[in-house]
Amino acid sequence: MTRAKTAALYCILLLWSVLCLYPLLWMVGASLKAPMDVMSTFSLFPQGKWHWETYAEVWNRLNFFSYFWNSVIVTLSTLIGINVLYSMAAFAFAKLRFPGNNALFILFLGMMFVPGITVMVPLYLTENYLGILNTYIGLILPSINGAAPMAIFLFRNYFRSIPHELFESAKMEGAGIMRTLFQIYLPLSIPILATLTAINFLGSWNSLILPMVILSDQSLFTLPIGVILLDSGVFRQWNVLMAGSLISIVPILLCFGFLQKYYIKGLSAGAVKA
Amino acid sequence: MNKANLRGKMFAIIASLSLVFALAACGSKNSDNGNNGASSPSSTSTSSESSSEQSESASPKSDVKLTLSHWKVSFDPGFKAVAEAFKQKTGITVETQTTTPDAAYSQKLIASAAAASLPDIWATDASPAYRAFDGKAYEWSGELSKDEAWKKGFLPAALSGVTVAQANIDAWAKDEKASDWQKATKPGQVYGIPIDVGAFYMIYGNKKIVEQAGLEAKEPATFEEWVSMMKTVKEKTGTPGFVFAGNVGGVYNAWFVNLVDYMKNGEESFTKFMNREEKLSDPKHIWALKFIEDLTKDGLLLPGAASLDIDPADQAFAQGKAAFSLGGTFTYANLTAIGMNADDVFSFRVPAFKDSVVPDAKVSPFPLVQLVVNNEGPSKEAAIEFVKFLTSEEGQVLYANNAYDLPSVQIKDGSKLNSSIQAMASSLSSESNWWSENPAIWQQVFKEDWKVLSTGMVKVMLGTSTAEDAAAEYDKAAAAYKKANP
Amino acid sequence: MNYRKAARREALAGYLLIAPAVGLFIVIGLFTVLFSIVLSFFSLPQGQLIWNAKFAGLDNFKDFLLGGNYILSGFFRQAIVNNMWIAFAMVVIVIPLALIIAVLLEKATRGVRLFRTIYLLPMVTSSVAIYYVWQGLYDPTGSINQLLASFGLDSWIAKNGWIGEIHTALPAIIITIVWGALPHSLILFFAGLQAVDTHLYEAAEIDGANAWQKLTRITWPILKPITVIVIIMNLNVALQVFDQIWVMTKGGPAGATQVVNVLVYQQAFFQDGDMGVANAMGWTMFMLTFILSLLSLKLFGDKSGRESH
Repeated sequence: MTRAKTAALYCILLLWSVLCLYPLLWMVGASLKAPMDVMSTFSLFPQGKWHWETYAEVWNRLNFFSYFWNSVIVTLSTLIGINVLYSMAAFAFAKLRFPGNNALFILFLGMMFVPGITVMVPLYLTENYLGILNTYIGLILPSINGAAPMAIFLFRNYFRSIPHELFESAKMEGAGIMRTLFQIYLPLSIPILATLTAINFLGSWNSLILPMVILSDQSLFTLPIGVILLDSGVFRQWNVLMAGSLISIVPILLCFGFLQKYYIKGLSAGAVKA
Repeated sequence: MNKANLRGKMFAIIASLSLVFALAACGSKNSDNGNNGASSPSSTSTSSESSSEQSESASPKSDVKLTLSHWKVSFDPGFKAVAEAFKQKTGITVETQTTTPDAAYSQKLIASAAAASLPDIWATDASPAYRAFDGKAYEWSGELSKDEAWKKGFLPAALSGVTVAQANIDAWAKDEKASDWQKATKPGQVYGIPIDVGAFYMIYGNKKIVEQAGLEAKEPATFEEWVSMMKTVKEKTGTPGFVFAGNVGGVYNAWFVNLVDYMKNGEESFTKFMNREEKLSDPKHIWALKFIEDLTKDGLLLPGAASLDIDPADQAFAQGKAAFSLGGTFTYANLTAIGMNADDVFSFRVPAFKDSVVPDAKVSPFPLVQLVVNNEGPSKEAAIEFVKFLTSEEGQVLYANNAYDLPSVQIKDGSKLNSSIQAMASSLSSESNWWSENPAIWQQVFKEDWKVLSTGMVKVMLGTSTAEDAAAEYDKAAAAYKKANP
Repeated sequence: MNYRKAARREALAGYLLIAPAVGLFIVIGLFTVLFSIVLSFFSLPQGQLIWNAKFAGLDNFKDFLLGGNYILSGFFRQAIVNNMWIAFAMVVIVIPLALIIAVLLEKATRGVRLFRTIYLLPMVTSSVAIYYVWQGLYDPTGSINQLLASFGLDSWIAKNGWIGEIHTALPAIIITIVWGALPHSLILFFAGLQAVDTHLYEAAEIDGANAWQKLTRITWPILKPITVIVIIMNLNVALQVFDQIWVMTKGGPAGATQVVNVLVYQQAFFQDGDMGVANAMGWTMFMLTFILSLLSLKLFGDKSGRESH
């Protein structure tokens, strides 16, 4: 590549970076301004005092620590459930022959388009019938179920990308199906596990409407509800809202930072080599 | 190697996460949770915790625990204050549950009604048999007639606003959306107890801006005078005259248009208009869109008003972005909470046109929020007792002062109330009149076809439609509505 | 004989493996979905209890599809047109843009990791909070107007804010949606490009292939199946969009950003709505998404479906 071309390339990459970063920087800047300055000054960051104390105020006011742990419990359980349940199902779809294999697979994929908002009331009734309203379980089960299409799709493609000889040789050695899956296939599937963990971490952590409907006990509330409660005063305190939002996305940033490499590998194997 | 590497990273994630949050938690403990500032109501602590320790010896003990669900964060301190006093008295614990925004609350309430898992007490907008969920709500008329003193305490308009009237039953009989249960209700039944009152149709003015324009900050005699005030303000100060929540259809329709049209045209013509027998394009009624068209042409509306919700509109007014704002009695608490100095505001009823038929229509207050008691709840008696306490004079003083809300009962000693609430309460008339007796007529503005008017109003505001075209659009929708709901 | 036994055992194992997933679906999903479908043929005015539902046949669908309800069908028409514009943008803008950036990122030699991380940020942070930020940027006195003013481009300024003018509101909303949805497409394309064996390019170069030939013969076959996934994903986002619009405009001004899911939400949970109509609308959108997805599978994905196994 010529120099000029390289320069142009980096210019475009930088420009797109700015577009990606600007709203986030705005968030950071807003969280540090005085409430009234947020919408009235043009500068990205505060011109006068930097109000770091907003973060402490937010942390105290909404009992963020307990919301944080609730989110951790719900998200971790959801992630474990998704990875265990759907690796099993996908393995069957990918490697085993049984009547209805394809039809069931397509049925699961079709669930992707189920209109989420519409089914909220029926879901509530179901949970009431099962007696799991206002519990972690009531939040975890629908989250797992909702992740089924994507998880099964990616797992299935990934398992198919692993040479079939491996399956055959495991069979020859007399390994049972379960052993083949958990001891041979899953250890080879770390990238796709990471991909699904990353995607669903995002979905579960940010999920707002579901916990709002399912939970009524404030001691069970998750972080996004906490953030929304910050916005329910008489007027919008931009700085408080932005500080709360930033606190709530720190765990996602960390998770993605660490999982990024595997995430892309898993995608390239799970989706690309379909 | 790969696997070990990932495991290591996982560990690092968890470790660093725990560290970050542990540190933050430690840091926060020192400063305690004294939340200062009027605008930061703590919405997490449950009311039971605070009172149980101090009251251990003095107050009676009870295992009964009630749940009160509502959707207004700003009301929560009011409910909590009353709950605490109630606990001292009876030992009964009342916990509040706040769900916001209002759509999420209504979503939850509907779902829990269907699932028979309603709380002991729930709050709703005040309206006869509203959110009574086909008999799941306790019916109060017996209790009201038994306890005459309690009943007498209410402002007449507060109680009549939640009492089933023959007009309601007639309307339900015709309404295909009404349930059989609603159709079988009887006049005089009460399914929710009003906990506050308020009124729409208030214009708030910014004294400073108006005086800066060389005008006197006082109520204009007519609609025309008010418009000319806005023009002067714009000329002299460059500040636009008017702001309201343009993105919330009901605000312009229900806080402004219906009363002004009633005053302008009188009972008969107004009723016809509401019943869609007179058209909006009729010269008598088209003012509703012409007014917006003129404001837009003269640059008297705050730019962006068309996309504002209620709170942002209040905020824009409080920041001095416009000279006048449309609101209700409840707006006052908002403005002061935002930090507007009470002395900088003046307010008046929406003005009437010069040749109005009923120029001096009095706005009487009506209930805004009611509490409904679960008829099938395990502690129904306790819940009834709590609602009665909340609407006793003692309970209402506690509630009103902590929720910045107007009480629904007569407070004999007005000095117990915050000065701003007291001032607001005394400005309302409690006499009965045509307007207060005929809510079913002016509440037509909440029907589906009026959404088309809101859409048209916004188009006029943004200059993409003329008043005439928008009026014709509405008339079509109104005709279709009338056909579908004869 | 032995073979048949083995096949039976394999089938049994298959059923056992999918049993937990299917079980969970039956417990949590099936009733919910069936109930919702059934409800779309009933009339259940907002605030009424389930047992007050009255059978309505196809009336709900007629109401908003065929003008049975004049007002509602007007809103629905507007909403579906807007949904289609968003879907159009999600395919016609997002895919080329994501592809170009992915190619450039692949070409870069330094800072790839950093750029990649930055490019993922919009996806990672897309929550309610970020829509508030966009609302702030589009505000009449927000950053965009202030930027235009500082360049002296006063005639470009959207006086009522970028989501406040009827003509700019939908494009502005689309930019926000694209911003949040692009990373996912980008990263999929990027992953695809990385999967291309570089030796193939070298071999092609030796054979004297030009850039176009390399693109059509080597890169495209790999990217094609990804493109299908990206299209389906983006269509789904476009037709199910809700959060952005609910937070930023609630469908305004004057319905300029109205979409079907906002109508569904209003029908289901606001006064004067009807739960049956809400469900009917939701499932209509489901059908539409499904059909469009099948269509894009037919158009792009014909071969890729069979290659595996």
